Amino acid sequence: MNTTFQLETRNLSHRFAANEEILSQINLQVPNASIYGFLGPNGAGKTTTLKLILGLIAKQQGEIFIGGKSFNAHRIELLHQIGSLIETPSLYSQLTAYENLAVWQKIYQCPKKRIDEVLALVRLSDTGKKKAGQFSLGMKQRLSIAIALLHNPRILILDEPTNGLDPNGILEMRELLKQLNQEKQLTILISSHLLAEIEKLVTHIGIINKGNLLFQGTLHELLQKQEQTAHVVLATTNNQHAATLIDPKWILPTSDEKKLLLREMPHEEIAAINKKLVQNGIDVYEIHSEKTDLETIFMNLTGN
Amino acid sequence: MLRLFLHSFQSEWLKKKRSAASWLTLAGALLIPAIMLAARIIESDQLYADNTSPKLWKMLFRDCWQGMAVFMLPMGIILVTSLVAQLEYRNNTWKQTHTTPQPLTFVFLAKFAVVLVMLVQFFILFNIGIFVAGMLPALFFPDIPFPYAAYPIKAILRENTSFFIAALPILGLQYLFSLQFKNFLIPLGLGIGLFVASMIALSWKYGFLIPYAHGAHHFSGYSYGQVVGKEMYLYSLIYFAIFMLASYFMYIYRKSKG
Repeated sequence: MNTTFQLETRNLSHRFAANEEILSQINLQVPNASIYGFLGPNGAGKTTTLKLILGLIAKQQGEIFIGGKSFNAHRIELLHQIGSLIETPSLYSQLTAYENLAVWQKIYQCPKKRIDEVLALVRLSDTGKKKAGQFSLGMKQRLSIAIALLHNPRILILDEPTNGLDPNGILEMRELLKQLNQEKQLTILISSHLLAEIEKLVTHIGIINKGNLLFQGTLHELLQKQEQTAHVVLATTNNQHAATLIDPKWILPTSDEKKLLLREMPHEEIAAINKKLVQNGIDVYEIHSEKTDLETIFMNLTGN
Repeated sequence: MLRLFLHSFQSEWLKKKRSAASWLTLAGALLIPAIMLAARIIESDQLYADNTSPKLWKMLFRDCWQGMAVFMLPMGIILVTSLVAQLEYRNNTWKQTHTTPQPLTFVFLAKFAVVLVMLVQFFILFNIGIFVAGMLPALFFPDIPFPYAAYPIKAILRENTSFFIAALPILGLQYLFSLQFKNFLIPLGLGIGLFVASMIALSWKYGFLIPYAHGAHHFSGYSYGQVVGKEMYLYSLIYFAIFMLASYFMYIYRKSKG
């Protein structure tokens, strides 16, 4: 068991009906003090995975380890180390923000002053006697984050925590999570169906689709993948002739009759190719460098 | 272990603060004594005779329990039990509850303990209400004495215990229903349906088989078939044990917990 992973699943599979596999051999590896973005389109299996990790769904196949310990064998001990927000906020609508936190403080037996601390952290200290049912969605999400943080967990599991938040709310949430990760070395597993929403936040990424983990690695590795797919697009009056004038090492096999696709190259090299083509009587209609953005990589991986 | 359970209970107790279940317990317990008090004040010409009668407390107790045992108590238990579990479904909080570091058994027992304590609270409030209904008119009318009859504490405790035991099967079965169904109307509908069935079958010799009428049976002192007296309490307790065990296992082995 690799204890550098704060959270790890091994061959986690799940099916709701006999012929309907929701998850297939999921091997999540969430490193210590990382912010792990768990990405996938709606219905990919993200929530099912997170619910299995938290023991909210009975596990059928595979293993779950938190901090190197089996979740099944140490459920209570490990739940002390996890804070979670799954799907929509879980709040007692007739209670105030303070009372909602007090409900969980009784279980975790953390000092009462922690309630004020987490309320201040999510900027809900001044809600007074206002009931949670009267809160805006943004306030409810923030209070749910406060509940998840109440007992100073080592891992935070958040399932689409920005759902329903306005852009400002998303920005605030992102800043708060970054702060917690940096200041308290909190490991954060956050799911989302929008890469753009969390790419500025995460250090690691796992991409899931139709119950299969398609990519797992650091954000840097995903960016490398992006670099690998960058290319130069070239359109001329005679692409066939142009291809014979360009060093074959630059030409990508995906080129077609209308456009030549070249490997990513320095600007000087692009200028030199352009000059050479013009000197050989070939007019250049179009020449530009094209990078595949992360969203496109995500879409390609998930087949959308 | 006991300390851990106490924490679970405290958490569950706080959850029902300001909930409909809390208000219902208070209102349900005090409604009949309040009506009785109003009736006594309105018919004030009877007050002197009543307050000087040695049977005042017995009479008040009987009149109050008549509506309570037959209708208010079963309906109150059906509503309150359903509402307490509904707090989790309605607020989408089962998933939060089930990811806290406490054994599932504690969650099950702590929530049930809340309902049970609320029932005790209900009984206490109801009895205070009866006591107030007996005492208060003497404060309003100067020529009316305080009740001559001594408050029959032992007899009242005994009767309350009987009604409490008779209420346990309803509590057990409603707890099972309310944990199992997300839709509040299902436990409520099942409870009301069984209650109506028990009322229809009240005079049937096997009517005791429907536990929702045990309170009414106790109040009426019915003889139903072979089952009389203490045997009825045994039936109530057996029903309660069966319902609680079934409820526990259905809760623990539920595949999805949030």
